[in-house]
Amino acid sequence: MALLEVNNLSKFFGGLKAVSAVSFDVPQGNIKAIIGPNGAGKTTLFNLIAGSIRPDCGSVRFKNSSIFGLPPYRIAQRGILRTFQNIKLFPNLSVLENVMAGMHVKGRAGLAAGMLRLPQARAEEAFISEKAHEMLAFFNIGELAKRNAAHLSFGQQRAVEFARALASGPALLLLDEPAAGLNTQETAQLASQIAHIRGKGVTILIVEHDMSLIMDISDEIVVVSSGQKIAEGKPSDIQRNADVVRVYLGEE
Amino acid sequence: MKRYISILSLAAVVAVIQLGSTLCGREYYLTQLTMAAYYSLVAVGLCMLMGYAGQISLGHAAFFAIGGYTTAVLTTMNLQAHTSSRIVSLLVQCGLAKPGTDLYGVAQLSLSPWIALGGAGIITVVIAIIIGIPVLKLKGHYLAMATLGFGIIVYRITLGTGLFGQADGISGVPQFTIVPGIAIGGGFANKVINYYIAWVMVICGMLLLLNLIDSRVGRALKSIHGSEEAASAIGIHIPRYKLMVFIISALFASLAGVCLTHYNGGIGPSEAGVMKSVRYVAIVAVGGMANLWGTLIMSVLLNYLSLRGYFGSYDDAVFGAILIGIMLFAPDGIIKTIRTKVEARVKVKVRE
Repeated sequence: MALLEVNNLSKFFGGLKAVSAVSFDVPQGNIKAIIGPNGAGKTTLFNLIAGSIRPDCGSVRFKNSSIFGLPPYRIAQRGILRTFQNIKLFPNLSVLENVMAGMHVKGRAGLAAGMLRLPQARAEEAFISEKAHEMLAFFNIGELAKRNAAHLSFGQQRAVEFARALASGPALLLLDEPAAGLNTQETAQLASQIAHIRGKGVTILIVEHDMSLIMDISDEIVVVSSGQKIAEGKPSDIQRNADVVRVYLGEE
Repeated sequence: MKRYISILSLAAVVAVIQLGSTLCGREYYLTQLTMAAYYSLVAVGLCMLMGYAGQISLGHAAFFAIGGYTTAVLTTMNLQAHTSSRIVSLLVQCGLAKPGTDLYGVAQLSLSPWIALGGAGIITVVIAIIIGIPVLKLKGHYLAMATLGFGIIVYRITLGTGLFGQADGISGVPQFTIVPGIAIGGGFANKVINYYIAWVMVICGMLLLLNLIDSRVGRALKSIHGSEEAASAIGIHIPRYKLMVFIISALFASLAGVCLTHYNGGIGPSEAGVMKSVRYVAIVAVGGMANLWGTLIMSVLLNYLSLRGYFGSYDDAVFGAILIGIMLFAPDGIIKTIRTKVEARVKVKVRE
């Protein structure tokens, strides 16, 4: 059974079919990619899974239970974490606090426990802080812990966002066009980061524009065009698929 | 550890000021410092809401008034006519209603301020929830306007309702005996004790809020301020946390209202006025928004100057001018701006 199962998922904006009856699976431990030309509906599809847009019909199942129509925070609580195309850190927090915030769903300390600094709240804080440091070390940005998140280079910001998304130990990571705006060298670095994350046993679903990155890292690719799935398969198959070449690769 | 050093320093400063004013025979200064302490309780609560969680309230004076008027109504109500009622006799038996006489020697049976305090707390939470749930869905200007509307409604209610004494407000509010010998109010003779009661409350309030900022819930609040989209993507239920901080800051304001009403022996509608709300916002802004200590320091300073009458009839104008000045020249608050400038100077000197 796949970790994430998407079945006949659809979303209409007025009369426009943004996503129309799309189905695919994301098997445990895989890197699955969604690609498609501009306006193909891949970002909408991504947002439907992440919960920031409510689907109209179809089904989305995660670990064999429905997450259809749940709000983003509930989806995050289930163990699906996401990153943003234009990296969204908390600029008012330090790098460490950003990652600690990422462990929100792992904590239990409530308002009173926090205001009174009760022993269990302090123990929990110590634990969360230690885990966050480990996460920063995993991405080789341990020395940035105390820096303000607003004052980082683009590459560092992305590493912090990865660390924040992974801090709670999600089963599935959704990446929204992570290579947008990167040069070739930075894209190569990103590819190794993603491989590094997969090494932790995290399943990854990635929406991306950059073909070379996708062909490089993904196990399977879903191609969407005009809101519909037109192909699905291994990178080598996709490269040879006539429909895909026509709507997408042909343009490049 | 650092937080406790700051808190202990504050306690030391509070004690030094009292000793100094007593030694110099100027204890009357303590009256304004007591009042400034209670107003500061409102300001630091609002600082949590505005500075840390990023939600503005232009109606916070309303919560102060809700606390103040609740206790004023409940503790001045005469239950003498209802002594036969079971509830009233039960209250008397539990010591929660006390017989006495009013100014004209008429027998009076009034509720204990403890009941009033509890009542004020419950009413504040209920109103904060009723207002907060719909209003906190709004952002930015819209939230500011909605809370302003709430403030205006409460102001007009206090001004127009007989129960609240209309334009005269409510006077003759008894002192609030916390333990025998220690009471909020009780006139000039009690001023040193009152000064310490008020400042102990501020110190406790600061401690609770400073702890909150560094806790899991505090981090969630700051995340919401940073990016609502990212906060919900890491599993934070935003409406719940916004409501939580709104209630906390409303309770701070309400508690201040209860205490100051007992201290002054009454409350009037001006406490609920829109200008009061604007004043609290100006204080948080001048303190540096996400800066509890800055807010506390500026609040004590400005409230003290205002209460001593240094701003004369331009009192409200001064706070309006502060708001404009801060937004234009020092959006990070006065203390941080000065510190940055000084640090830059020092750096230049070091290089030379």
